[in-house]
Amino acid sequence: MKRTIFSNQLLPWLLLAPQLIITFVFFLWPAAQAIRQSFLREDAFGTRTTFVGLENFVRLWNSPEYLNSLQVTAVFAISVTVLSMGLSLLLAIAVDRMIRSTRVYTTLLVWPYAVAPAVAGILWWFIFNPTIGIMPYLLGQIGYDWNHIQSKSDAMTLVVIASAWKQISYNFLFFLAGLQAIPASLREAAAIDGAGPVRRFFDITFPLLSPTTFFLLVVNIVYAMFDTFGVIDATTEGGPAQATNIMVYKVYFDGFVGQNLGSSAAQSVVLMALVLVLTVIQFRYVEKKVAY
Amino acid sequence: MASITLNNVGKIYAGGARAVGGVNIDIADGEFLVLVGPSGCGKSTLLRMVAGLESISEGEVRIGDRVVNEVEPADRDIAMVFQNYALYPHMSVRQNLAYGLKNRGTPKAEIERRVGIASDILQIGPFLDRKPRALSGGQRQRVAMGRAIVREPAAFLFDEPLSNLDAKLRVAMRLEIKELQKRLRTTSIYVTHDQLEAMTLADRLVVLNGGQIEQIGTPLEVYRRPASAFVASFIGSPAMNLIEASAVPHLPGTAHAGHVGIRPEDLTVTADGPIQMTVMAVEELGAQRLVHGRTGDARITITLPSDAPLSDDLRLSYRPNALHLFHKDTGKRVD
Repeated sequence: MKRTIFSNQLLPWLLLAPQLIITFVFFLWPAAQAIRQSFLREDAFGTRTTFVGLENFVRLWNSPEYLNSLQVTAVFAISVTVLSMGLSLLLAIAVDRMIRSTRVYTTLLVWPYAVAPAVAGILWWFIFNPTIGIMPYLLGQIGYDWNHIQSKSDAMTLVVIASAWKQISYNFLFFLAGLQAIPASLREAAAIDGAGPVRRFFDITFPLLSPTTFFLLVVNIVYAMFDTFGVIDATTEGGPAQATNIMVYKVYFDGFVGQNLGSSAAQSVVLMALVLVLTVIQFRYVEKKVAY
Repeated sequence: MASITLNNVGKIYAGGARAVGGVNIDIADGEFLVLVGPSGCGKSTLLRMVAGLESISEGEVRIGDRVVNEVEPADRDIAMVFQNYALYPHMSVRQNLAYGLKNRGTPKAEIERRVGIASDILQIGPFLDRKPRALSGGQRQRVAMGRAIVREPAAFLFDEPLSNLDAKLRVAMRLEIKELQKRLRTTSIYVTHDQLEAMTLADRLVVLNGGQIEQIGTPLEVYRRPASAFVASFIGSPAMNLIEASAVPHLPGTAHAGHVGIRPEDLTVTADGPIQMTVMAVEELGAQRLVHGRTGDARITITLPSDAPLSDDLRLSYRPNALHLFHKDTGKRVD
């Protein structure tokens, strides 16, 4: 570690100030507000605010809607992560094997990342629109009646596809970089050691890719749980019948549409705790296990 | 154990660039053959074609009596030691050694036995349960060789295995490889750019330049009768002096000679020698010293005992049969 000694005590604080101010104003202060709010309740007209202790949290745990949202979030996050990482890995392996035009393919595959979540949502909403979309038409040909406005599973499938699609670029870039960091001689040595392509992948490539995979796992779960608001809002708005109402969407809906600020704040606090846990897992695990 | 035959082997890359051409080599069973040449001469490409890591564009490669052009690396019955060792970083030393055997369905007891033997030979027993990152460079090198030994292959292929080691360790490992090969009598092909390594290890060496063979022979044959000016300058340290033929007075050779070569140790200081040398620099090596200087426009180097008297001007003489004459157009040896 490199250390710099400052002769002036003020200078380091000045240099740190922009980052500290941003962190405080945009992260710490709102978080503190949310925690404070989660112990309060406002009446229906917003005229009176009372301290209710843990009442907001207790209500959450007793609310079938919230428990449903937990479950939906879990299904959604796992599906998005698995689908997105699986496809990205396949694409990265395909590009890694290419000798020429690697750059062209990489560039093309990175494009979806530039698309805003809401736009991605709309895009897939059009593709899957039961009235005018191409996919329901094609699915109809093979006898499947697609309707994400009525079918819970269709709605979930739609938001999972739209969310996973957007994350593929990011995962792809990391996987490709990870693959290219593995020396070719390791795979050659394995080939001479009698391992076929599939064996080589599972015995050599995949284990050596594990730091990348684990990093992406955490990033993707965080993405699916927190960054997919735009996709949900643009497509299903949490419906039908709460089938795609993930936690972060419910925070917004209960707080800004339902005007139940106390409950919304309590839900935010739960989300904060989740992020905290994920971060701790990430650091613990990365330090201990993945480095070889 | 097997012989290896390269029959008119060539490599042309997809872009049309030729890396290797017209290579014919017969490697006897149990022989230690060294491919040596400057970087980019095609020696690694040649080795990788034998290993099956590069496709063979022309000619054929035989291991034993089998043409292996279309045979997968795994089925060629060869083992390779890579420059960067290519140890599997997530596996212990034991797993590294056993991996090739496991893939071939060798019974557990047999794997255990062979790993035991290899680790005894290479003295890596104490490290069997460590990961490669916990080993020093020399130990990693040993594990890489162990991985080759346990397979008991028909041939070992070495791709500059010592170039990542420091000078002292390189000399020690060089000897170990030589002894190991003598003991196991496994046919070996060894690629290096280091002429000293090539000289010390080889039963026979192949000097490559620009994708072509310049000379094949035992180290002493190549040293004593270099087939071309390139070989003359590449093999031997300090390098052979190459002087333009016109600069040497009353030369006994032919009219075709473009360059005259003479080894530094073949020049002796005498009071009335025919060559005049102006000394420019002296390098002390302990037992001897290298004296660098000029004769006319040509630079020459001689080796002298460290107690020999020195002056700024020396007269040098040579035995007539110590001269090597090279053709002025082709660079090939003439005589």
